[in-house]
Amino acid sequence: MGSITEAMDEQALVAAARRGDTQAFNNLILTYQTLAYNVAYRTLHDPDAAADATQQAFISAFRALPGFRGGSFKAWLLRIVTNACYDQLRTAKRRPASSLDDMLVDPDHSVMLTDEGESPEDYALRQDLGRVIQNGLDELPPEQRLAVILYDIQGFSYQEIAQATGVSLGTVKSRLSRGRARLRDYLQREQELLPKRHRPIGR
Amino acid sequence: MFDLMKRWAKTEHELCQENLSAFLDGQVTHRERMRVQKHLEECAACRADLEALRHTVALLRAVPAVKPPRSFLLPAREVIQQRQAQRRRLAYVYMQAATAVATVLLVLVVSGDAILRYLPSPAARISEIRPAATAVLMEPEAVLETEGALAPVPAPQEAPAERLGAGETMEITAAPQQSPEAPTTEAPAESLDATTVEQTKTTQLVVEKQVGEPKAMPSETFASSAAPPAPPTPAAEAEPIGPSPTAEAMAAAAPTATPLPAPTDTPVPPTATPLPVPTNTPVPPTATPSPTSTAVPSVPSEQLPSPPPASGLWAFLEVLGPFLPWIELTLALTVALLLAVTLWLRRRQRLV
Repeated sequence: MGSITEAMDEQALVAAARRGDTQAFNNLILTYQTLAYNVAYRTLHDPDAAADATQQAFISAFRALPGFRGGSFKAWLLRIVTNACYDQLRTAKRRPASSLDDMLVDPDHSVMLTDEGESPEDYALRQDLGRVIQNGLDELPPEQRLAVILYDIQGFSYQEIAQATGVSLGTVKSRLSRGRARLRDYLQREQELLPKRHRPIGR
Repeated sequence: MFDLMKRWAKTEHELCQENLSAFLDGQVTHRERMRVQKHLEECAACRADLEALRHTVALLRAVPAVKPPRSFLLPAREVIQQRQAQRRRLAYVYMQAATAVATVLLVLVVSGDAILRYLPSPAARISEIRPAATAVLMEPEAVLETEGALAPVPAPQEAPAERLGAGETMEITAAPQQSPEAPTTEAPAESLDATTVEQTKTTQLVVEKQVGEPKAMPSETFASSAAPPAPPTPAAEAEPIGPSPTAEAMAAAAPTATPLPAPTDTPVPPTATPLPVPTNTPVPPTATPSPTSTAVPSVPSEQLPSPPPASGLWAFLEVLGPFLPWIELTLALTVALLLAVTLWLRRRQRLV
């Protein structure tokens, strides 16, 4: 029941935003900014670049909104976010010096969202896990990385990922398979980096 | 046999490896699922891989979400820009419409003006004719000359043109252009009768007026060539000076010039001098000098002896008449201005 009214609210907000209502669009941003930023952060592994990509994605979305022809707003927005991420990756590739500078600073100073009732130890463990996984993700080609982030971390469906990245379902399947396999190999290699709780992995 | 079995088993193993990820997500067909499950029972390596994969996925699911460092609500700058862009779009549409309206208005006024000039109101015709007639009365012999001269124009014109071709090639091109126009002046002249003498007088008046200016040049050529039927030469030479109506008049005026050669030794002929003065005076009341004079030859066909009752539209146009050029100019400037602003707006819109 709640999700139905939520969806109706979203439809009304999208309709209002299409008419140029920035307040309505800002409400949509409030709903999706954490998701958008997380996708961007996991893809780019750089808080500043992720923030830039997220902001750019929302500005692009607001401008492109009159061209939005119904369907899932979330999937439509996700496509714009992934495109903004690819743009950031291309910019980073063009300026390798600046990304090297970023590497010198610990990029994992990002504040994690806390679960209710989570102990400080658990929080620290999760942060360690996030760091290790992130390093593993960094080794993947961007397409495989994005597929793994969207499916395993963000919980999108195959269908939604196909729509957001503009490829077929089969391509999503194979990207995800290869990305996960590579990540599995990486984690087996770098087991000692993982928190003890997560350590026994495979073989 | 074993070799074949091994190869088959290997492909089965590869298939299983390929499908492990989708198998884990339940994204395989029923047949694929059966094959993978069957292979997993036989292959320990695949079982281990599946477990490792399951563990990896579990770790990925446990990856914490990060908190956005700031809010990504559209900045005020973006909101303002968006509103400005919208306002510009609206302004562009309005300016486009305004330009279209002004252009249509300009076309209407210009075409209306043109129609008004070529079909003058009866009242305007009378006012034109009256002063013209009085002016011509001062030179009665000129009328007689024209009446006699108008008819024979085309005949002598063609012959001398050919003759001149030998000596002066410049005039050849001018002469043939002249000949087709000559009959048009001839037609009204022939249709003249006793009642329409006044019209002939005005025609004569126009003719004399135009002759007055270029006469100095032709007279010199007369003197050098000394040939008797010279008339076409001044007509041909006068052609580039004035527009087609002028040339037309020149063709008609050509014979009028023939008796003049004798006194043309003096630069300005005495008969020509008094004429420009009276022609100028009757014209001002009509406000538009050149078109009204060209319209005169067409008058005889629909001439009305008594002034008809002026309709409201005609009266309105009469009043508007003198201001029409100004209205046109203002409209043209408005169109130009609107077009410039519209183009500027479009350019700005593209830049944003």
